[in-house]
Amino acid sequence: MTGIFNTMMGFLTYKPNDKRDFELLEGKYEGVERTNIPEAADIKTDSQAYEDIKTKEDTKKHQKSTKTPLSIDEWNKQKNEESTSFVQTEEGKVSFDLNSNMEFIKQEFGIPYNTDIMIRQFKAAQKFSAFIVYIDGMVDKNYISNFLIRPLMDSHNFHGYLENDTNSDILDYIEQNVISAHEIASANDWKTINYNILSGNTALFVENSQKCLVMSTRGYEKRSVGKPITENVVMGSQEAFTENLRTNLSLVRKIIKNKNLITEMIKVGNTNQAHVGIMYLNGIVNQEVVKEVKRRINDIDAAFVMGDGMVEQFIEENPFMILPQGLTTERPDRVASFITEGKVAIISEGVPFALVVPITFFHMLQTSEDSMLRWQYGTFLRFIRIFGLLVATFLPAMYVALTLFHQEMVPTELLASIAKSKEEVPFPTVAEILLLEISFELIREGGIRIPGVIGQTLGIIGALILGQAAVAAGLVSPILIIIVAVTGLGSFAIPNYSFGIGLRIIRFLFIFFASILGFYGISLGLFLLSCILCSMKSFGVPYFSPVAPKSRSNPDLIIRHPIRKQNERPDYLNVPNRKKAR
Amino acid sequence: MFRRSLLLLICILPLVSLTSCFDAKEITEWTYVYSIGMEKGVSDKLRMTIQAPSMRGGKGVGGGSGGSGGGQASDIETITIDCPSFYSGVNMLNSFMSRQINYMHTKYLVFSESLAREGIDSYITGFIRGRQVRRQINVIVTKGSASEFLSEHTTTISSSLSKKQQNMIDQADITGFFSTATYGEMLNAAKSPYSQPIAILAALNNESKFKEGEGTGKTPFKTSGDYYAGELVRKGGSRAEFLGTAVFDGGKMVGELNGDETRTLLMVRDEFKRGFYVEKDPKEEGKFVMVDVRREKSPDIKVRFEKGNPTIDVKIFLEGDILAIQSTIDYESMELKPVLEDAVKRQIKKHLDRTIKKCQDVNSDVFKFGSIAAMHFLTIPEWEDYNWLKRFKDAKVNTQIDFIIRRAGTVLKSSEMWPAEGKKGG
Repeated sequence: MTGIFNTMMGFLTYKPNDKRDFELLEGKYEGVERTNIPEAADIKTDSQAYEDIKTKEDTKKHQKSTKTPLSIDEWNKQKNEESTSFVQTEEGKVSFDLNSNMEFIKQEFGIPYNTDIMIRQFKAAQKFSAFIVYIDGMVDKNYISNFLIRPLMDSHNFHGYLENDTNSDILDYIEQNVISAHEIASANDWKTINYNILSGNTALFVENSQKCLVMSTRGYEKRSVGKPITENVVMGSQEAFTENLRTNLSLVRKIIKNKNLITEMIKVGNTNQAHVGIMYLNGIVNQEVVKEVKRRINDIDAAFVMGDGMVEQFIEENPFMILPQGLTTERPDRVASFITEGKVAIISEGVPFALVVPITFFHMLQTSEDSMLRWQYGTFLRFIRIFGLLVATFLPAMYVALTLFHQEMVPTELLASIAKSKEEVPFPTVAEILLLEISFELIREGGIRIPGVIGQTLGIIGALILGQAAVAAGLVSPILIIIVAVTGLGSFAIPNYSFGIGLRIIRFLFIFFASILGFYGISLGLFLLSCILCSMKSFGVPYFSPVAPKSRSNPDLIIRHPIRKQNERPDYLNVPNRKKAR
Repeated sequence: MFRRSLLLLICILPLVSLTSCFDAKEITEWTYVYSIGMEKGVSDKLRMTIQAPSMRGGKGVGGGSGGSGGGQASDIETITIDCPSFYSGVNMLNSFMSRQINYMHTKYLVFSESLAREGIDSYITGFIRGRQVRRQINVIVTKGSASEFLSEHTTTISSSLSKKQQNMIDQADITGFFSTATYGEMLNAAKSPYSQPIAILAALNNESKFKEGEGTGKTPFKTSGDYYAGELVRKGGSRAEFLGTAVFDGGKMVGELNGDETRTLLMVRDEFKRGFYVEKDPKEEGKFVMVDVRREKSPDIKVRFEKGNPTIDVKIFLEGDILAIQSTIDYESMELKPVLEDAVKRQIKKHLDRTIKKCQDVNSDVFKFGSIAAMHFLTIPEWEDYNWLKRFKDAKVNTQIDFIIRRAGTVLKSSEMWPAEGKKGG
């Protein structure tokens, strides 16, 4: 009994929110109009200060997770250094004995069951036993034959070693003098070596050496850069991301030719070990956001992480909110424009999409075309999109509310014609509209899953035959077909896919509210929705910035002003350099 | 999160469980009454008529195909019932109608003249409390039976009755022959110490005045507005006719105004928009000049009190265009323009004076002079003690019309016809 009482009191009494959510607060560099971009060292002091605060507050585990991540190569290096400083043990390290190394690899990769792993044995310089390990299909075979095996087997290349210093490690000599691979590193712990082999590199083991050489020979299949599929534009770039992370990063870098464009790599997914690239523009981005992004990505503890869609789910603020808190795009130009604005792009391996954070509600209604077109046209397109959004969200609910509760608001003649057309329909309005809305969703979902050739036919079957037949059979009234069709059109006008799905769900909520309480119900629902949206945050930025809370921003929310006037970065990002001109 | 979802659940649960959709009603559960007619009942106090569309059309709007036959009239059901009062009648109707009666969309409230003369105050005040009643309903007083009027006032030109109803009312702005008196205005005027209510005068034209055969075309001069509803000499078209105004004293009809008088009444009330006036040609016998008269600005009304008796000065500002000059005398010229203007002024002043006289005779201040007279009183009790409505008949009213011809239509100058034997003047 007291438990219930306490719970009820808990609802009624105010308690300060002691949960430490991430909030994007103004730092000491916010809005400081600096001509010089802070050096890397400068950022480090900044981050040091941040970590100082964190260490004071947080547990040791937390501290570990906020450690600045390193790029893969640095990471390798650091691991190697760690290993040398350790006491030499056979555990986890490369052995002197070539055969035991080979046995270890065979054991590790499950040879002979695993047929993907290739081990090629040969005599380097016709003298030293050696072998290379790689995964078939992940590597460029021509490259391995021509630039690894050929120079290694040619004894001419080893003149220097054979004549002069046979005492030094032969792998050092090979690294420096023999192999002409563009990226090469030595490693001696199995973990690094395994990972390198798995990601398409080749490892070279030579007898009597306690390390191996890891050479970049990646050459797996990848798709070439194509046209965007989900974000088509008439004017503007026609380049889209592909599944390859390196290509994607280079596509962005191709647009932003700036030395301050930083790409950091983090490995996520305990089993699949995918790479996630974080891109931002140093000196423009708020370092707190970068740190928060890195912290959250580092905190991901999952076996399989694939693509930014999964990353987004792991790092978003609140998984229970109905609208997306990160913006997914497949356009490099869009990512580039966000990065120059001071946002952080998260590009993952394996999907042709990038995730941009932090974002606001208004970004969901914008496309890259808006800024390509003259401002009048861009604004017009935005208005149409907003109209589409309103129609997609409210039209069926309005229809339900009008016909069930507010008949006085319908023009008399329309009312009579609606009534006449509904005369033979046996269902109540709500059932009728749900029937049609759900079948429309079915057509939509089916249309995406179905092979392209049949997809066209599906549209005709769904839209024409089904609609016509439903009316003829007296299942739905003709006016409802119009309502649902216009609603569908409206939802197609929403540029962001996940935002659109969110609104499709919200639409059903509004139908429900409208069928219970009419317009009053719709306004209750709208109130509830706006409360939820206003409490939402995307990486510390309120979802409705810069409208609520009001802050400065470009005149580019809904009405676009001429492009000359758009010379500021948004205030809600608290970037150190607000003027875009610099 | 749990807390929040629990809170959300607590918010939504009462929404569903406590209110549910008890007052939701499908469109097809209602019947929408277009007009309500009331007259004295034969076997009960009241005979009520409602006019509602039948929903038989099936799919699509209208339903009825073309053709001038009586087929389309069947789209509208006219039902008459004798009942003690309006609301009890509504329930009685539902004992043989499958749908609940809904008068949210009612456009016309029609009273028969005999009921109006007896007094309709009990009906108009005993009606407003219903939630579905809107104050924009137009109030019509019809000569003869209201049920007969409604059964005749159905779709003729358009297949949509509600459109016809609205369009018919909109004609008031074009002709000024009747006002757009609404139920709300009537209610307010009936209860106010400033003015008296008016209603639209309507009647069925039985075409008895229309004489067959070709006449001589020579009749005594009669202006286009010198008719009451139901008196137009015509044939064909809808039998229902809207022309003139019913003048009330409180809830009791005491007089009626014809079309011309209604125009001047609306001018004083600043509700007149425009109307075509026919004027005898000042220079040539048997020919007419047509003028399009419009409101120029609000009338200037002043009320003075001399020894307790009110004197009212009314000045009305009008302007207009020449539409037609049958005699081709150039009234556009600077010399002759004032002649025509004076003639129009005289005609309108004559109508206005006659209207004021008529209203004073029945002591009904439908001009809303009271609202200006009230400015001379400091407190409301003083004003109510003075009892303007009673003293209106003693008021002395001076009228003045201001009329200017602005344009001469699409013709700059009249010129005579030129038949074979040469011009008349030449």
